[in-house]
Amino acid sequence: MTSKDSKAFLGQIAAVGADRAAKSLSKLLRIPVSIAKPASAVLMSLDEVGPYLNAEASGDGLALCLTVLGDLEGKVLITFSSADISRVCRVIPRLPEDAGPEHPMVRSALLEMCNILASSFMSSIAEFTNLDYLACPPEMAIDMLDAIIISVLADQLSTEQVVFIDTELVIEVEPFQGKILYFPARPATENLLSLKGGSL
Amino acid sequence: MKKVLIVDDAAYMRMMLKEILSDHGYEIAGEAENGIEAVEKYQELQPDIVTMDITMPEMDGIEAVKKILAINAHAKIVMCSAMGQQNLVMKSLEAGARDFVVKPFEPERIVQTLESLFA
Repeated sequence: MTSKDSKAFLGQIAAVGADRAAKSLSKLLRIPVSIAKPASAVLMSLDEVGPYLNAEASGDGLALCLTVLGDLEGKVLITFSSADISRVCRVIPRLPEDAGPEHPMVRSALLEMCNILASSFMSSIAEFTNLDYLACPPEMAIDMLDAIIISVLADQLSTEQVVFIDTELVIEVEPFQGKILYFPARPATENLLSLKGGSL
Repeated sequence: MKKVLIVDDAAYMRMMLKEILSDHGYEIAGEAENGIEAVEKYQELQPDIVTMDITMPEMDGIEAVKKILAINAHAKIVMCSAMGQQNLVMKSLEAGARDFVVKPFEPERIVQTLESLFA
């Protein structure tokens, strides 16, 4: 299996996860949510990940991170640009008006949204691949997205090349876009690709 | 009016559940943000039903189910969990929880689940 085939397979897996995540977010927010572009698998060096993300969302951003253990061990990140933070706060039901992510109820809602969204994404991948995972409590960070990525991945991925799955959701009633990024750890990547007899 | 104890580490989910259940005629007896608090509040408030998150700090929902059932073997506990925690849900049911709902839930779904326990 070539690297191109491996990426295509991971992209296929991501599409399954993105579809269920979009449905879950729509149910949580009670508004339509769609997938902005086909989910894809990206292979690049760790140094390139931040600039890749910042190219689409410059400046500070917000990242919600769910660590997963088991066969699918890795990190799931839900990221928004700084401009989208207030928009996402507006669409979450029952939050105080004009409250930002520092507000305890907004923070709690964002973390719960991360938990639900990332769990939907991962559970669908787990069912599709018959691999298991266990979710840890979610965490939140506000900083430059590349700094967040480096910080989140520093303890886990020391290899030169990282593979990650990139999906983008759109909330149709607001000009809002959010990314779901799944960074499988090396053993999880191997578990996923071994299903198709491939490697990176 | 049935009394409910809401247990979830997320303040937002507790707020949403309080609103849904109050709107459907339940009295919110209290709330707890981890398993230890849940057991203490159960003893203190003697609710008719408990909604219980699974993944929580200090003491998780499964352990709290066991401790509450040790206090009252007939306690009615419904688990609320995010998708993909089927193994943990199964453990909760084995521990004695009566039913479960998956987040995000429709308000009607949680109400139906609770009402079915009093049918």
